[in-house]
Parts: sequence; C-alpha cells; structure tokens
Amino acid sequence: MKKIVLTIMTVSIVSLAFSQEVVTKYMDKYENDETFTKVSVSSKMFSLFAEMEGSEEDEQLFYDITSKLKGMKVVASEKVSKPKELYSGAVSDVEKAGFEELMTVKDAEENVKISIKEKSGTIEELIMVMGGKEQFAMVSIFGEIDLKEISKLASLMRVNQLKYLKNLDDVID
Amino acid sequence: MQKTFSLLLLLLSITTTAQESIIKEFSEPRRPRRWLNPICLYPSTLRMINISGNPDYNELVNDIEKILIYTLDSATTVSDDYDSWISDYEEIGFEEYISLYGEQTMKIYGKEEEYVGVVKAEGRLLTFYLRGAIPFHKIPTLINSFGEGDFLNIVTDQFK
Repeated sequence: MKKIVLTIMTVSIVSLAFSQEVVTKYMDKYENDETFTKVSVSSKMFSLFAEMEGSEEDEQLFYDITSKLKGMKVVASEKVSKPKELYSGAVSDVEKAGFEELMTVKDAEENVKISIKEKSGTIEELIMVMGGKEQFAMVSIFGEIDLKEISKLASLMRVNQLKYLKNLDDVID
Repeated sequence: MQKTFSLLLLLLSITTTAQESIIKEFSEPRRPRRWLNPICLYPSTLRMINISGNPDYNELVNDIEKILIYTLDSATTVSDDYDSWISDYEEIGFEEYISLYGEQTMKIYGKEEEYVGVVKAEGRLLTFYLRGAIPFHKIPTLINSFGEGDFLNIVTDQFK
C-alpha cells in the first residue's frame, strides 16, 4: 500500500514539474533580456487583468472560466532579431513536449499555432505560439481547460496575446 | 483552556512579526539615506492620501490593516540579488501570485491575507509588505477611475 501511495505521489510530482515546462524554459532563457516581457500569473491574480467594462454576465463568465484555471505564463517581445527561427524553434519544442496541434493561423503578418495537452480526457494545458515580422509570443494557460469557454477569455482579459484564442471558435463548431 | 488560547494568540503574533521581519531585515540596511524612512500606512492614513475622495479607492483599501513600503538604494537596485529575500517567504508558505519582468519588474507573493512584493521601475526599487484583504478584481476599476492628482504621491514626493 505504501508503495502504491509513494508511486502515485512521485508520478504527481513529476507531472507537476513537467507542466508548463516549455514556456518556463523560454522564460528562463530570456530572463535577463529586457526586450522580452515575461509574465507569470496565478489564478488568484487573474482578476487583475479582467476587462471590467463588460456586463455582469461577462463578469460571471470570467469567474466561471478562470476558477478552473491554475495560471498563465506569457513570454513576448515586440522586436526579435530572428522571428522566424524563434517561432519554428518554439513550435518544435511544443511538439516535442507532447502537445497536440489544435489549429494554425497563417497570414501575411503572422503565424499562430495553438496546441493542447490532454490527460484522462481533460485538457490541462494550452500553448499558443505567435510569430510575426518582428514579434514573438508564447502563452501557456494551465489548469482545467474547456475549449468552448477559453476562446471567450480573449474579450474578457486585457492581455493582448490572447486575441488569437477567438480563432478557436472556428475549430470547436 | 484560556491558557491554551493565550498561547495560541502569542504564537500567532510572533509568526506575524516574523513574517514582517524578513522584509525589514533585508530592506532596512539598504535604505539610500538615513532620512528616507519606510512608509507605513494604516487604515486612517490610507484614506487620508485619497485627496479626491475616490470611492473605488476607499473600497479597495477598506480591509487593509497595514502597508509597509521601502525605497531601496541604487546599489541594491542594480544588483542581481534585490529579490533574494523572497525565497525566505517561499520557505514559510508564501506562493507566487504574479511575476512580471522585462523593462520593469513586479513580483507579488502571498499567503492568506499577507502579501509581499517588489517593484522595479524607472530606476527605482520598492519592496512592500501588506497585511489585510484586497479585492484584486477592483484594481482595474480603480486604475480606470483615478485621475492626475487624485492621490498624494507619498513615495515619489520623498525625492523632491
């Protein structure tokens, strides 16, 4: 019995350590580079970024969505020297970490790739990688993610990089 | 029973002091000039600096018991270990609530109704300790509602 408990504990600790590891790796890599903004927000602080000019319904929806999330991490820069390489490197790192591609948006201005990681039927992390002509961004949202709800976060939070989540509506329906 | 209760109260007060003391021990020797005292705000003083009587602000600070703010010297501002004291708080159960770093830095850690943090912006470095409850969801509303001159800027006014 002790062995089983210990194994479960070890597996839980290992899986916890590996969650958000891709974005954390990029946060560490650019820790001292001031051209990159690094943000780590726990669910307790999501309300700090809430767009509060919405209706009471929006407010309720915001709390319903964020109550199931554990946090969010963002690494972003408006001016990177090799955006294409950085974007493809990040996309490759996300794939290697076992994420499943959900959707890709490509236009003349930017490329966006949204990927998810599922465990026992629950989406526990969503990663969005964005590469533009000079811009780069990587966003990780983790916790219990409902794709139908998460696309609405874009209009409920004052985080510019989340605007691409609106595209998820096309995939879900 | 009463003895147990008194002992618990004593232990609680010792813990609270200890939690505040970590930031004090780091910040006190790193104050730039002897006259630049830490700012200590209590409910009455928190309301006093709201010179325009902004109701959103009063609502935000309503349940704050104490805020302690230190402005640190330039040597600490440029050093790599300006936030080394945060690990001592993590050891006693404080969790990372928000970390933002790039051109500016802001880190907030919390445990129940106690918060500690560091803000590095425009060449200045502040550390703070806050005890009490803050409705974080009210902060965006407050930012939208306050105007120039609404508050006495007690931190930057010290440098004038």
